[in-house]
Amino acid sequence: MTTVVTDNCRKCRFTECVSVCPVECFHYDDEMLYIDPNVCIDCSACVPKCPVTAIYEKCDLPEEKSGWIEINAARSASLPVCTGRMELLPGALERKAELGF
Amino acid sequence: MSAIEVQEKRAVCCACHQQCGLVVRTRANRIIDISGDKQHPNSAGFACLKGTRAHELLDHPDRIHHPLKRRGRRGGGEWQQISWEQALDEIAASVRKLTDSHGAEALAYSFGTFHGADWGIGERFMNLFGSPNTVAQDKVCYGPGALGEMLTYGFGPSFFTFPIPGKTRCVVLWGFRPSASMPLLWRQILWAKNAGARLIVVDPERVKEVHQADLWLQPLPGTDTAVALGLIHAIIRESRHDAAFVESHTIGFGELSEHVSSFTPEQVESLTSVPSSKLVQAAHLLTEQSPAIIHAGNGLCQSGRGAVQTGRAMACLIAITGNLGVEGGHALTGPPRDLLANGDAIASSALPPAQRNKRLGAERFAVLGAGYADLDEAVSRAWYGRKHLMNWLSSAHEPTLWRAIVDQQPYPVKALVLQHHNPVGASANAGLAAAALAHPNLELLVAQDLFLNAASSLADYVLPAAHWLEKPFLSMGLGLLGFAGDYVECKPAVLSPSHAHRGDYDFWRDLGRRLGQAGDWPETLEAFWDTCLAPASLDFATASSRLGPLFGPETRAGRGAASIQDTPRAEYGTPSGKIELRSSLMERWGESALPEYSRPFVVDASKDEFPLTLTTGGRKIEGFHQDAQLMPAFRRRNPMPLVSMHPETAREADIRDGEWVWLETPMGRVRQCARLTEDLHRRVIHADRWWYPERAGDTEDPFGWRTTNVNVCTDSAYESCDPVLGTWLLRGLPCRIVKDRDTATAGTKSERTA
Repeated sequence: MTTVVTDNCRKCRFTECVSVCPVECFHYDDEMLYIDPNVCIDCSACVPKCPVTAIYEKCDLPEEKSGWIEINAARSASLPVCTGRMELLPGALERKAELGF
Repeated sequence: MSAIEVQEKRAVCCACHQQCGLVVRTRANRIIDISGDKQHPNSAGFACLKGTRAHELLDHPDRIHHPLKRRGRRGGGEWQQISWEQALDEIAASVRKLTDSHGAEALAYSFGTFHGADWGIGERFMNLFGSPNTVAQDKVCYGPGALGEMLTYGFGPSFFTFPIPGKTRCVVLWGFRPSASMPLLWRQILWAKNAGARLIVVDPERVKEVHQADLWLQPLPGTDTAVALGLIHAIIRESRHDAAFVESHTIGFGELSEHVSSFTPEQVESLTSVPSSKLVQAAHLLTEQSPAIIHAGNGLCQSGRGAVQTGRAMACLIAITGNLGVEGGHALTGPPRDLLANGDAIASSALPPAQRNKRLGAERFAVLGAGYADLDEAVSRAWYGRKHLMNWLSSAHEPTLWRAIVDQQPYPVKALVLQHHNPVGASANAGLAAAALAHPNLELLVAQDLFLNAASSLADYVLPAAHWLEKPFLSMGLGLLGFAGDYVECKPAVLSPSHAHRGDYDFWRDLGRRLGQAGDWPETLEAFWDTCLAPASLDFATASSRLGPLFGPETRAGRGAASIQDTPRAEYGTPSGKIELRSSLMERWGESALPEYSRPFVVDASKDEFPLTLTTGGRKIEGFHQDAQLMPAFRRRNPMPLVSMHPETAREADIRDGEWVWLETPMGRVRQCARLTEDLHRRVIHADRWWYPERAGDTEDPFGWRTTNVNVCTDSAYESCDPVLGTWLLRGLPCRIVKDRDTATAGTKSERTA
């Protein structure tokens, strides 16, 4: 099993997910978060917390988003770990509305 | 408040043993949603999908809503809906008739692991009724490890002790994947690691925890005792043990040193496949980084014959390294002092000794029979004079139950009550369990459950169980078991039971009232718990008003002159009052007094025919025991049973990833889907427990268990069981894998999409 962050996270980075994660598996860049599959325990605590439905369990991942499995694994390996809530990215609320949430 | 208003309630999750705090929103006695409670002091907002999607099980369309009485043949699937009153009247009459003719012991009761706080409460009825035959899963669920500790230092398990970040300097995870089974503990271990603690993992599989480890040992399943004895040897050889602690607290050190002398790193490598250099490295890390906690998991409690000796070896390792009773090491909490937990709440002393001696398995397994009193007396001396503290691990022996039904040996068992327990899924040698449940010798089979499954569908009466969200909650450490000492947490039920669902307690109360126990069963579970809390000057309502548990002095009544704490007591609950590296009780029972290594044993197993080693039932976070099969969240992730193997092992058998293959042991064979992974040792196979709820109507193989459940291949022969406790053999069996030439490819597509 794998749990992944997908494109809806871009330009939002609400980090609600990080506040309930028991294992510090989220990593971040300027745009979004990524999950380290070797650390994530697939508890799904984060999945319902995401305000923009960016996080999926692999078994629920839409086909067109399957590339995000590789991206999460690759990006998380080299990015800093996110240890707590972060500031919203500028325009996050507008972006959320745009996405229909 | 109007019934259609949204209500927000606090609850404690019963979807596994972790007991995370939940916030549940309801409307009109229905769940809207469930989330982790950020205010809860233990879980602090965390809840996994078993909790947040618990309503998927609660509201499952296949749930049983009304009492059912069998029509036609057993297992024929024809039912008549009846009232609870009729069911209870008829069951009571049948129990009376059968036990009048065959004795109280002809009634047995077997319950499944944690499914709400009243799990196992039927033992109270059984003790009052005079039947010693309450059957539980303790033999394969921490019993062997806990017994190993109790024999050594008079209480246990201490394996669950949470590390203290900044104090604990080394954590060992041994046959234990808390990332799946105890995520709150895993979170705490990671915090300790962030504060500098080192992590050693001992596991045949590269589990999640290995990615965080400083050192990983990969022994073959069933060889853990040899690894432990090798560590003890390496530590003593280099004088790395805690000599001062050993000198003042233990007896038998010299004999232990001599006993382990043959377990050199090289010898251990040949027995376990752990490289000698890694073993020595582990011995160094463990002793240089103290205090340490060794979390010996349930993976060590399911290998049959040597299970208790494995627990003893772990306890000796903990003791000689001075990690017992120190801050940041293993806490020796003992039972609660004043709370009426443990054996008292289930009226253990009401069972006459003559009846206790008839317990199924008593004549064969010491702790279930004559040895129980020895252990009880020893443990009691250290812990406030309380009796029956280890009652939970001396339940009747399930494999003996099946034989008592089928062969009527040592005597016939004619009536059986199952509560939330599906032995056809969970028991070793599932075929024997199924044969016993369907056998005409068993004249009454009652199953109270959420669902019809391969066991409950064979019953004469099926009773609709309440889901844990429909029941009040109480935890004294672990339900009634009390590992966490002075600790209690309570919460009222989130929902009132819908349809005709009733709790486990309600069944036994109403049966008890029909069979001479009218004065022993308060009307409600909360009122019963009031009687358990009263000695600590607490009651259910007061304890429920607290967010999180009460613990320590808050649960002690402070009874002045009568206070138990002032009574002189032994430091350790062993016959000598010392830590017994050499166990006097094991010796008294005719077993090796020093922790002895033996491989898992299967009668008639030829090494040539079965060259691989099988381990089974590794935990996944999305499921908890047999309930997992019914949970949509589990099945989305796990559509079919997987047998995992190393790619090299698969190549040798001409097996490709995703093909259906036969897994075979001397016991039998099942078909599962191959999963290739480099995370497993080349000589090790892992297979899932399995059955298909959606195949209830399959006439050839109802629920699909005969062809897919790995427990068709596990063993419960007496010769395979632990000689002290009776632990049966679920892990460490010899096995082989065979390509299914007929359906390997064809089956893949159709069954995957089924």
